[in-house]
Amino acid sequence: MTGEDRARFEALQARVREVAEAVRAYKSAGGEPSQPLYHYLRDHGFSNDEIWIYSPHIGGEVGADEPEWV
Amino acid sequence: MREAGQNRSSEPIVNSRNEDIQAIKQLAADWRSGWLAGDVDALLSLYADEPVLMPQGLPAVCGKDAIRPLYQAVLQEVSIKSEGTLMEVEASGDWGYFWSIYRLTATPKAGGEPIESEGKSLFVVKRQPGGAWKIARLIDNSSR
Repeated sequence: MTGEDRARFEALQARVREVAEAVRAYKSAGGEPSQPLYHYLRDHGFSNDEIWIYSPHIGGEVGADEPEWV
Repeated sequence: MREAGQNRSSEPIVNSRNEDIQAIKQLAADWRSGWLAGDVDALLSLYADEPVLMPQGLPAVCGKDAIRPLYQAVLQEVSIKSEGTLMEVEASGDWGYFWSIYRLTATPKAGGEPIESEGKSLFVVKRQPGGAWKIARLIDNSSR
């Protein structure tokens, strides 16, 4: 891995940690979600890659209208 | 706590479908991370023994020893900016799949015009004797 690759990867990891924070905020809001989680994350500026990489930690417990993989 | 799919005894591995889906999602996430990091060793570690890669416009590439130089060449010759989306994950028994779409720009490091591409990839994954899920077949083709 080159230095440039490593820097890009570390930036990506930092963004994925931000996805985790956003998911926690979404879950802690309680009540009926105003929008599916996937759209919530996209509206908060996260890329599909960032959501993809965090997706194993999301599980199937939130929202009924998510893409199946979220 | 036992990780999904990990087998530390001779007992049969009987995971729920949800456990398998989660494990395959993790494999997919590791794949995407490895690709975005340009980490060839990490990518190859996600393949099963004797994998087959079926890339666009090339004959099938069989085995990790043949896949390694292909990935090394790509990652050494071009800088890739890409955006990928995981579309579906499924598991049944010891087999599963996931597929994704991507859009990328590959800029030759030696100079030259960037190449833009869009495509989709289908990963056929197989539970290994130790319980981990690995990529057995990968089909990739461009959409334009």
